[in-house]
Amino acid sequence: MARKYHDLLVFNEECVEFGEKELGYEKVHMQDINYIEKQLKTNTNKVNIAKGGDLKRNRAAVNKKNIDVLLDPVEPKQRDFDTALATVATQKKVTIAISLNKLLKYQGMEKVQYLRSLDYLGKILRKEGCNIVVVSGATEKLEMRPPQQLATIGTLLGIKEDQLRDTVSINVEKILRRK
Amino acid sequence: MPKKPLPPTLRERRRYIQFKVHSNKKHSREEVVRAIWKNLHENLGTFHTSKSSAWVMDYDPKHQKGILRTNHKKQLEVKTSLTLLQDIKREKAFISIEKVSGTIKKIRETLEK
Repeated sequence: MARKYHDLLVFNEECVEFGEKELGYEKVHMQDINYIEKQLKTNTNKVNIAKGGDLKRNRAAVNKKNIDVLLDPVEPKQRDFDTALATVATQKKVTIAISLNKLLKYQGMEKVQYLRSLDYLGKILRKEGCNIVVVSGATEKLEMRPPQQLATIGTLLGIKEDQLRDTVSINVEKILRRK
Repeated sequence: MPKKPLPPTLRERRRYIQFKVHSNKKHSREEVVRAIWKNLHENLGTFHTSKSSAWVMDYDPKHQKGILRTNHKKQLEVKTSLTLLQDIKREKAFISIEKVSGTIKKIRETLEK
């Protein structure tokens, strides 16, 4: 059976059409996503993606009911995600996602620091067996990437080559099946 | 006395990556090659870029498609690096990898199609 690729988070209608027609995604999700930046207001009919970054937000998102995905839990100089949070995330079936768009914003030394944070995050997530997903977070169509290429970002988290494609296919389907 | 080639067991195995440039503007071969080298250098560094044996073999400016040769060991790193390319000569762009093959003959056949 052929794999079905999903991009879980985009911010533009143009990206949806471009991704599904040109890049080979089965589905690019936008309408069925509830993206939460500040107050944790969830919607049971949509996939709830909470933005992380600092300890307070990460902890609140992981402990809150109905949060499906925690996006970008680490920053270049802040690694506010530990094994305790990873254990709780695995128990509550909260998926951890990293976005390509955030990675593309950094340059130079900041990028090096962010890659180190991702490496640290990857070690924790793999040890605790968390569900990991890679999203594009694209705001325009030139920020999107084909699914197999988007999956290669998983190497920054230390994911093995044979498991990379799961981050944009099977792991996303696990979240969608619960809705 | 002519130089002996490396024995087959020591020769590196090559991978040919067919890529396409997506951008609002059409770019020349020189611009694309420069952008790829800069990107590889930034992400892999001097040492790993040299180990990857990366080389832009062909590029068709009309269809914005080309062939990049690399080493089989550094294939994944080169692909990851190409994913992170976001502009060519300050114009927003990205490179999509369409096909990877062990022989250049197969890649050229699909490129001609």
